Amino acid sequence: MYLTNDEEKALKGEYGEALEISYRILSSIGRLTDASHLIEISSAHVSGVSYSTIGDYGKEFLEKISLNAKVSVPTTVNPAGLDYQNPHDFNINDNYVLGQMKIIEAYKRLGVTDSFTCTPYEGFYLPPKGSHVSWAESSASVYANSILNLMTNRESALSALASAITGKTPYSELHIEEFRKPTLSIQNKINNLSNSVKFGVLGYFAGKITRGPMTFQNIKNPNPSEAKAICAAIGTSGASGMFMINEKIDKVERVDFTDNEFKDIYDELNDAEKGDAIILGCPHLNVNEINEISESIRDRKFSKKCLIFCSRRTYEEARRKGYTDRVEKAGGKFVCNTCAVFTPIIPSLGVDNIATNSCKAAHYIKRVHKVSISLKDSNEIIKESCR
Amino acid sequence: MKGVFRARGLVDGLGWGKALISKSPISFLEGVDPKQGKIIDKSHELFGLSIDGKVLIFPYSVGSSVGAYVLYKLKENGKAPSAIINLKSDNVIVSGCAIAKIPLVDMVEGLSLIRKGDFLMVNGSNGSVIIY
Repeated sequence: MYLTNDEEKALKGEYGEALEISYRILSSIGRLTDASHLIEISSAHVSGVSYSTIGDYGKEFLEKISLNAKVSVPTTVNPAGLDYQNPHDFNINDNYVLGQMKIIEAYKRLGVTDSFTCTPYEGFYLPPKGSHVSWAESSASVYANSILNLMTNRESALSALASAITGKTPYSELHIEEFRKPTLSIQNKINNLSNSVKFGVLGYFAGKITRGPMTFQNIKNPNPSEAKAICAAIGTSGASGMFMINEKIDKVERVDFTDNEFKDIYDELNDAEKGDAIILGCPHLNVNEINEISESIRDRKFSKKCLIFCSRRTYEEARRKGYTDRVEKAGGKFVCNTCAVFTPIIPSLGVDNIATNSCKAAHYIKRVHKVSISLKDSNEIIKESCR
Repeated sequence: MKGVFRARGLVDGLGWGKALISKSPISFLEGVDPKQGKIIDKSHELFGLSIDGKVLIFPYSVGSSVGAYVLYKLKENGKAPSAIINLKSDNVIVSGCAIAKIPLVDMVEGLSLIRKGDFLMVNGSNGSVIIY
């Protein structure tokens, strides 16, 4: 991969260790993906924030690199393992709180935006359409490519961090137009496919069968909730980084998505009749989604614990608009800036079954926390859990 | 000397040592103890063996992406492999070797000639492996 003189100098350590490490990451990933050179990016989104995922090894690396480095482009970060403004909620142990706080401090030293969300495209800086970006967090990368008209590879915590610091990314794969053409066409055969669960199941199915870009035929344009669900599910079940909708492509392999495929995936993710607690907000909810929950609760109360995950910025805006009041009065609890999966909050609930509308949460909560999942649309969950 | 073989150089640097070969992939998060530099996954074919100072050969990595930080920790503890050779590397192993400064190559032409204990010189910068 070609590097400019200046990039070569940085790689050799002439501009300090943080830039040296960052360029080592980028040049190595560049060679792995056959990139010709590095290009400039207009934003970065960095994963690897929850102490539950990166642990002490990740924490120590971030503490060190953040001593002498700053991000050079607008950079948002993923949710943490707890809400750092209320770290002692849910009786999380001191050791965890301390570890998580150190990670958050390290990211703040690096100069990232105080986002702590997996949906940085809702309420935070959005680069102009067509821009090259470097986004980790698979659900957000797929969303960037497929819905926002941005160009990004599915970055890792380290590659996105290196890009945030240098402002550059290898020019490869989904940054190049010809690699963004769908290589598989998925023909939807289910009538009136709608809601987050159904779009999620479709995405989970699609992610399993291809690593490349795909097109979905015969589906409606997803609303933001459905789009988030399908992107998160594609990111969960496989390695594909983008899709198109009703884009007619000649001479690509076609696969049908029928009631049978739907049932197979649904049965794989759903293994409980009902949940003893409710998790909503994987990916994080936006203001409208909070309003929809508020509307469907009406004046009833939750008969079980209901946790709602979103960014603090979203929560504050929803609160100003009067959407959170009814949810909180019904017993729902908002958990800000926290991941709905990679958090000690889930085991602290002490339940064996969880109801969620997210295929991504279903996949991971089952594996990480050994809890059964009831996968249902949020309206249905609220209907059966509110009195 | 068995010869000099071309490879794809992924992470710069020169590393040498005896070959330690695994036919199965490695999960660094669950499978390797960064304090001792040993394989601790009981179901792994290299269970109990030290990777410290070896040229570690395996197809690719599996498991959590946190594996990248484990490589960094191994290096900090002075227990890292001196170089890594993969059949086909992946994002986790590449970024881990990059931050830990462990020379990394994949797609080595003479890979099948390497036997356990052979002395190897791995050049991640120009993409070559010398088998002694």
